[in-house]
Amino acid sequence: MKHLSDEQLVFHHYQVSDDGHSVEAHLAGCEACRARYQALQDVLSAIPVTPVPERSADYGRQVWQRLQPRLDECVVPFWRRLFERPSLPSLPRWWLAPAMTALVLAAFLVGLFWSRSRAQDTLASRLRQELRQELVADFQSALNRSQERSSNALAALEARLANDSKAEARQLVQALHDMLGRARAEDRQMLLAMFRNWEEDNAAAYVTLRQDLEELASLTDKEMRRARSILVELAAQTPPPDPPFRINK
Amino acid sequence: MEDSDTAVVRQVRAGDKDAFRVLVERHSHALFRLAYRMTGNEHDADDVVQETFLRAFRHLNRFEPARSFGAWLHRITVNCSINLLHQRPPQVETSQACTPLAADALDSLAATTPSPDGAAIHAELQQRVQAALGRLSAGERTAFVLRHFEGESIEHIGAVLGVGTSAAKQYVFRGVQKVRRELEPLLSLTR
Ligand SMILES: [Zn+2]
Repeated sequence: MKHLSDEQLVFHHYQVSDDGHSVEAHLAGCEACRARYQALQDVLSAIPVTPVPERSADYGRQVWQRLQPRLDECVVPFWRRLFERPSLPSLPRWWLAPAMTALVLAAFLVGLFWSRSRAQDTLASRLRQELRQELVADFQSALNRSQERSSNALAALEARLANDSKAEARQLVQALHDMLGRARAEDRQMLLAMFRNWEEDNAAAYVTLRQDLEELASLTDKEMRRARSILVELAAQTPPPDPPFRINK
Repeated sequence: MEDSDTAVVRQVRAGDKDAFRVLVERHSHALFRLAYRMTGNEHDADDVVQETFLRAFRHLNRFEPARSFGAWLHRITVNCSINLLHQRPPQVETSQACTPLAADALDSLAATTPSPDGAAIHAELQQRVQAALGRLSAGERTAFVLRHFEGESIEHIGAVLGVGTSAAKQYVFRGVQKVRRELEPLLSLTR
């Protein structure tokens, strides 16, 4: 007779068995398994059940009150979302740095355009001026963060490649290439969307902006090529294998 | 009739930030329970609940309406709890690292008291369970906590972990085995 496995006993205890009846039948007829089942139940029933501390009926309201002011921080300007893309959390984004530089430039040019346009209303022009400064500051801090992250990512990559065998490192590099490629396509879309936003908001600045964005696109292309060549170089330089390589960390 | 979670999510996504309140009020208690089971600390659990809703709000566009919003929230709670446990300052690590020493304490306990004091064993058990939970993987811990303490269905556990039911059952099983290994020596002392 085949006895019940530990797994079957655990599943039976938690009533998640696929074959509850046959387990039951076996237990009824097998003293050995019954003893094992009893031992399992003894342990599990000995686990002290600490009561969960009470929360008042209006706990949800309290949570909301604490939460609500923090939600405003979540309304992220669209350019900052560039750095918070869900699908690529750990992707090195060093090639975004020149993109941001170009955007700072674009903002600057838009600002120039605005100041030339002689708005009838000085208040409006001051607001625009402030907005421009805000934009530039935002881009600048995004740029700094991007540079910091990208150098960290590159260092991590380098360290990792140094420990992996050549063939497997190549595999990794290939995977990274693909990721970068996908990110690139995504970024093109993002840039287009940004462009459309700007176009709507600032129809007059359209032409200048278009040139800047074209410039930006070629810059990021160049940066992509540079990133790829760095990756290939790194893969070629890696020493012979050390520990077995695991691609999933 | 009450709006479904998905309907409210749609409202929030459409820009009605205050509609999020409905979701907060609806799910706070359950999230607190889960966070408390995961972290073992009341204040941590409160913080995890906050963090969960904040993240949920921030990433609401990642929620797939075909799925259960509750399970999605629980998943975030689990992640926040695990993050928090990983960020713990070393003294907690130390207390966990000390648990093997507790065996000595038990020896002396068994030696000095012919029938071990129930309260002492209970306290020791509790400590052991916490230590054992701390050593489980995130998946095992979540599955064990949800099934053992909260009596959640395997389907729900699978949804929280983002795995199928058989994988969810495996997590429960592995969690049980590890906890059991931790507790059995202690329990044999009491017999
Ligand atoms: Zn048997």
